[in-house]
Amino acid sequence: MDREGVPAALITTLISVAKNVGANRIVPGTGVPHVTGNPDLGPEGERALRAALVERALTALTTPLEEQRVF
Amino acid sequence: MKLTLNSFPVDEIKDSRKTALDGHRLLVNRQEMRDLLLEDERLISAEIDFAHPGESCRIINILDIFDPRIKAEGETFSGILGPAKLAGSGTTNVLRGMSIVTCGPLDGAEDAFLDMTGPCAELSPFAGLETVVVRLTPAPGLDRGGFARAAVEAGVKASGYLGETTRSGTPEGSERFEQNSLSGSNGRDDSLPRIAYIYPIYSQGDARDMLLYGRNTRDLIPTLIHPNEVMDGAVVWAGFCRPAKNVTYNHLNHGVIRTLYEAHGRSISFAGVIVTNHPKLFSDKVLYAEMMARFAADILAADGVIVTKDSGGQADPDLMQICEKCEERGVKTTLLTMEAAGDGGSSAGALVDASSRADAIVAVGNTVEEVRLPRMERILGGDRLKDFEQDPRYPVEVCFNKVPGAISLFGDNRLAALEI
Amino acid sequence: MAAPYRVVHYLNPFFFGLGGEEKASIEPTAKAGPFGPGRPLQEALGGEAEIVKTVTCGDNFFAERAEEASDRLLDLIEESRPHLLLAGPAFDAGRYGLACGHLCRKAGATLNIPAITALAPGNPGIEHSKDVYILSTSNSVRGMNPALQDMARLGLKLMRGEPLHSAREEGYLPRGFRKNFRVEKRGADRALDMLLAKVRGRAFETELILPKFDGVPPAPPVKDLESAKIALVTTEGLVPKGNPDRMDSTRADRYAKYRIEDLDALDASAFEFHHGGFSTADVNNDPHRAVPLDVLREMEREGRIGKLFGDIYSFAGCSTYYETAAGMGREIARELKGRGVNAVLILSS
Repeated sequence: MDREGVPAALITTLISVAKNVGANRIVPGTGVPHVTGNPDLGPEGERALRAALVERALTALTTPLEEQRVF
Repeated sequence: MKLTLNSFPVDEIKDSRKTALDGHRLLVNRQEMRDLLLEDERLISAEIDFAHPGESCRIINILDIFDPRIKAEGETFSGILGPAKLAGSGTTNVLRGMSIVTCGPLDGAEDAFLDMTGPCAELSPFAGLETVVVRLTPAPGLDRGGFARAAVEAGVKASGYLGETTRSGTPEGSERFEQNSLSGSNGRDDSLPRIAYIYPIYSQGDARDMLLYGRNTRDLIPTLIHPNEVMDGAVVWAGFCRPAKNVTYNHLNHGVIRTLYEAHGRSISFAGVIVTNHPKLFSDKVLYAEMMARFAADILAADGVIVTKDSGGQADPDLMQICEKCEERGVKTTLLTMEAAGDGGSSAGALVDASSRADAIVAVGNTVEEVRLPRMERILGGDRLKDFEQDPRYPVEVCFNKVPGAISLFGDNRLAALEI
Repeated sequence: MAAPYRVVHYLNPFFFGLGGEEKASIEPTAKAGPFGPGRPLQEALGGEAEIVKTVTCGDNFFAERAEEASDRLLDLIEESRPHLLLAGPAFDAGRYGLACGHLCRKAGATLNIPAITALAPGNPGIEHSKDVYILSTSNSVRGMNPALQDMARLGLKLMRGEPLHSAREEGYLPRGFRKNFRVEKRGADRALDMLLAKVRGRAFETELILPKFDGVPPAPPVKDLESAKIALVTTEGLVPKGNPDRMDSTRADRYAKYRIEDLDALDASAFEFHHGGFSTADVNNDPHRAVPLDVLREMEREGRIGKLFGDIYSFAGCSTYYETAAGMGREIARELKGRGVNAVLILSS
């Protein structure tokens, strides 16, 4: 995406993998089987969690960068 | 802790009215064995068949592979059928040259193929064993977790039932595994390098679990265990989604642990075993790696560790973190891992993560390389393949990681992925 | 007795015997039979193969007009319908090495014959490619004889169609591919040996060198979120319930596009996840644990973001070949750019 000039935010649990393959805007997710969820939190807690993650991703998309960053 | 493993070699398995071991011939009363397994109401059928090396026979719908064994006192596979008790000592009789393969239609399990002849025979040590195939059918309405659990117990029972034939027999060979102090070297040469083993056993839930003393390892944080516990059945496979990974047989006859034991007192001091899960969160992967590095450096006083993995790509970050944290503490690392090479076997992306400190890697095989299996006349274990819409007897092209034993995450076999 | 295999040999003018630097610009030329080092090379090949033609080209000519030079040389080579192309050995000669490498790669790719050259470590002509076998030589021509022996040995094996061992065993440089081989030692023994060497500070050789991926400079940020069009991509294997398109859960070689234009949320009864690398139970119970569509729609309604792109791109990123994923990524990126998408959110386990 970056090569085409389209900023991309990657929400993933495996941060070191994201860094290794060169993703620039990285947002840590909350678990391999549920990257934007957490079954232990209950429906309201989970909704708040994913709203927070998406917000972080939007921040990443609107932040100018010179190099890789974990948001 | 002292564990004695007695060997009773088998080179023939036959039907009989009475289950017994007659020299090297195992006689099996299949009805009696079936009745034992069907005491579990979660199962409505347990067909027993024999497969022999060299036969044109394909075993499918594989769940697990055991060897038959019995302890002189106490239960093998502690914690599965009864309360868990510390494993790793006493005397165990093992029937060698044979295996028990449990099969069944478990939802979510991928196909696995074990042909007793042809290319499989060259790839998998299991194809060279006299095999008792136990084909299980779940009761209607039984959920996945229930069937998975029933399958584990059936395997354990089958192992004990056949192992019982050695109760009053005389073994042909005997191995002693003794290591009394994790931090000591048994009074032998203290100048030998101290080598430990980091042993992830991975539970992900949802019938993708490993069992330690009968319970899943989902919440297991790094801890120390004695290698004898592993060799005495404390670790059982219940992660049936990928049947060709490490089956229970591989844990019982653990390649790395046996190698380290054999070298103990000669070229190394076997410092101990650290067991862990592959955690879900990245921050936990870092935390566990730091904990394990501390165990290795401060408690086991290890000069080096061998590290294996128990999952696919998502365990690669764990390996990299373990390498980094150990090396930072002065503990040298060597990884044993399989890989998923790229198109045509290209090297890019063989592992999904990388670290400059992961500079010593033993590559036990490219899982996605394909091998063509020819037609087999007889099918055991099931009626249909899951991922292929064809008669199971037909020739089929499968990846190496669909053949149990072809790629050994514990370095049991002589395969390597090399650059060409 | 069967007719011998036909071999064509490439040399630069100096080795061909035509002269030195003054011949560096000569055009592609051919002569029948072996010349210069081709003669001992022919001896090494024995009666099983015959060097039917030797081709040459000035090092400068090749350096300045590589495509034209190689095309013309390939025409000359192809005329002889050879079973094998041998180039060099070029040792540490830079322009000569570049020519050998380039010519061999093209021959391997277009003529469908094995192509072998021999270069010293560090020669700029070394480029890993499946189309050429590069043997390793000494830096100077003192290594001529062993280099020729190696070229003949490997060449005969390839022409006969014999299975090869690993690159290391056969003496050529890894081409960037890996294959399973049966080896003498068990993996566990290899691991202990490797670790002991490392602990003792002795040399050891890893069986897998981890690749480094090239970074890409970050794209400029989205200027105005409120009017931005954002597309979603998931590598978690999102599919409509029942997986009607039969998407693979492992080694995906294609991606799918699913319409989310009219959806406010991802219903568990309409969608599921098909991914071989992790347990999909949690995300199947609530797809928003992988794709937070509900939150994004709310943000759309509130004006926090402009608009979500009408399709979601989906595939299962489990053991997917690196090159395949890169290819899919390029395609998706171009398509999105063409449709005026300002930013992408990628959801991955």
